Amino acid sequence: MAARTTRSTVVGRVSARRAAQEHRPVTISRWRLNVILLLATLMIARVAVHLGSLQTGQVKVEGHTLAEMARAEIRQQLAIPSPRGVIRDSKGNVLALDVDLQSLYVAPGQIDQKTAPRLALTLSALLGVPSPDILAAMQNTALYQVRIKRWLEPEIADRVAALNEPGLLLQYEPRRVYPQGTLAAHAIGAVNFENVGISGVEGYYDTLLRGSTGTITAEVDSQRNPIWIAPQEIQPASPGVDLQLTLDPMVQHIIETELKKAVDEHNADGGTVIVMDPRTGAIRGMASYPTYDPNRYFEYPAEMYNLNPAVSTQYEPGSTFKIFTVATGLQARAFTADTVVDDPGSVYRYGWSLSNWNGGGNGPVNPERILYYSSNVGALQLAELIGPEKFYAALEAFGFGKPTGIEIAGEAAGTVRTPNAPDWSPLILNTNGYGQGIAVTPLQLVRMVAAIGNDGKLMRPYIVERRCRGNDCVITQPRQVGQPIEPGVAWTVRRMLVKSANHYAPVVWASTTGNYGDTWLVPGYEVCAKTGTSSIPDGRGGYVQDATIGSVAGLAPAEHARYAILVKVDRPRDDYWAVRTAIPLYQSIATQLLRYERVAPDMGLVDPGQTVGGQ
Amino acid sequence: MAITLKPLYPTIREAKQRRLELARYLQLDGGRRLIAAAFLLALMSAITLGQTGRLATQGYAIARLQHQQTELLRERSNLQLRLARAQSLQDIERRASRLQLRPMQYEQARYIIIGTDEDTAAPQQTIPLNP
Repeated sequence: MAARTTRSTVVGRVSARRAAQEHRPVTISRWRLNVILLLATLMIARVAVHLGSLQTGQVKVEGHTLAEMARAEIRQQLAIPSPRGVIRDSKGNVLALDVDLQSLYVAPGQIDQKTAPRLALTLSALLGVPSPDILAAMQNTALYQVRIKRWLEPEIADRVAALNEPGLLLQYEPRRVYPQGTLAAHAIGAVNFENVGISGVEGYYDTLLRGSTGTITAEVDSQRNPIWIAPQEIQPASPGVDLQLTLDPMVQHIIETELKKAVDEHNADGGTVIVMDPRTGAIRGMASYPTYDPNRYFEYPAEMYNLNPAVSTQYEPGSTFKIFTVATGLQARAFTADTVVDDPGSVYRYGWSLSNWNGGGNGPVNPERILYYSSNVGALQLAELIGPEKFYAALEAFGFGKPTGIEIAGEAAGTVRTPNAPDWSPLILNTNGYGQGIAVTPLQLVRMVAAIGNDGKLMRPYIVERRCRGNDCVITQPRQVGQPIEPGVAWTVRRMLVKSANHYAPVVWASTTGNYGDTWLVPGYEVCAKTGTSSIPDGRGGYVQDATIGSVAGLAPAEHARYAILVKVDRPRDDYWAVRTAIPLYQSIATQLLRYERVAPDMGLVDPGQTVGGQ
Repeated sequence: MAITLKPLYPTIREAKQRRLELARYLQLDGGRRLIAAAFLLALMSAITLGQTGRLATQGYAIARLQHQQTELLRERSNLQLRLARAQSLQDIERRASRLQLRPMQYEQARYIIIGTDEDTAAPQQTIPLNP
């Protein structure tokens, strides 16, 4: 009974509980609700914080806030280009300027590939670019834009534009153009593809010529044109400085033409001519050959366009340096114009035999005859009379062994071994006396000669006459940097050099006059000249046996000189001696320059058979 | 048919009454200032919009002029280039030979020496060359 009762009771309770559960509402405990509420609050707060971060620019993508990225879309900084300054010669002719030329690009994606071969052929004919190259560029759809050719001539660009082909894009790009081509190329220098001057005046004044690029920060449209809604920040561009050089185009033309003729005639490696105004130090002409076209400098060897041989190349000046030895000795009162030394043809010094150019002796010679005969033995004795102290002090006073400061990049200092140098020996003084064992630049040598033509006043050579930014110009003033010799000494040396010049004249005139004696080198004028046949160091302490450098340094005319001239012919193949390679070149240049300068000839200085301005 | 007759007089009176009460509706109290402020704001916005529009238009005009300036500068530099090429001595020499001109011969030169202040007594001289 009890068991039955119990069972019925249990069954009844379960049914009652089920019934109660079916009717009782679902309830969540309060703590659970609070947790859910807290979570929801946190999530909302997180979203709010994130939204706030987005709005206040705390979120960064690749280092930039969204606000910055949005601003950058519409507010951009655009460059205001500054054109490179113009370079002109002394007469105002343009030697270098910036020109905007169009470059041709193709967008392969926009090219109709069916007609691409025909278009490539058409462009090839216009541009001179091989058609397979153009076709390959057109078919390279992996790239958005491919350059076909830079800097088209305007006429060619017009003809390309007239094709009206989709996918051909013409874009302006600035280019440095040298309208005179090779004229004065070494002096002017070149500019590379990054618009940086790499040599010459372009290199020396690169920063000034370039100016500074400006910027404009403004809201822009889809074409990147500034929209004048919001205030703009403009940093104006500073245009490059315009330069006017001292180079006279006519002088430059004369020396380049004559130098090329001489180098070709003697099958020489090259040559250099410098023409300087002795009174001011202004460079009127500076030429080297072989030369290059700065418009296409990249087609030449680097040493061709990087170096200006007139200022960057060192050479042993040879007998032209005897001018210095004589002038220094006279100035130092180490000897007089009447001092006589014996020239037996060769002498021994410190175990070495030092000889004249032909090995022959000239007997007793004074300084004038030493220059006249170009006596090495005489010159080395003069150097001994001067002594190392005064000799090297004079070298410094004449500016040897240090750059002249001309405004051309890459100027060399020259090499002077003084008694303080560890490898100096008294033998060096002897060889220095006749221009060996010392290295100078052509510019240093012509400046020394110019000082003799300028009554001993040594001028700083310069090639930039004026620098202008707009109408604001700075004119270079001639600057005297020293007076190594007195006017009287300079006059004495000039008289000696006139006789020396006339001694060389038969090389030019004998075939016309039949006279092998001294005559006027440039009929109608007294000119100074001294030749030099320099041995070339072989780099092993000796000299190259089968090659020389022939040079002549001089003044035209001798008194009140308008021009100091240096001509140099490197390694002529047909003749060993400067008197036969460089004197005709010097004579031709001096003749043309005096005519160009309108210096009236003196008819008393014309010998029978000679013609003024002739040969 | 039933007709409702309504005297005209009360209707007019009501209309008059409504007209008199209209002023009360226009008495906006604080709201009047709000409307004035909104109106002022709208006016300023319109002025700003107008100015911005004019500014943008002028900006585009300036951009056009700048573009023209760039084009003219390009043309100028191209003309400078042509001039420089035409003035080069090589070009002049080429054109001169095409015109069958020849360089001056030395014997054609005549020098006239004019006396300076220092030698005023010196007469002018003509030097014939290479007689």
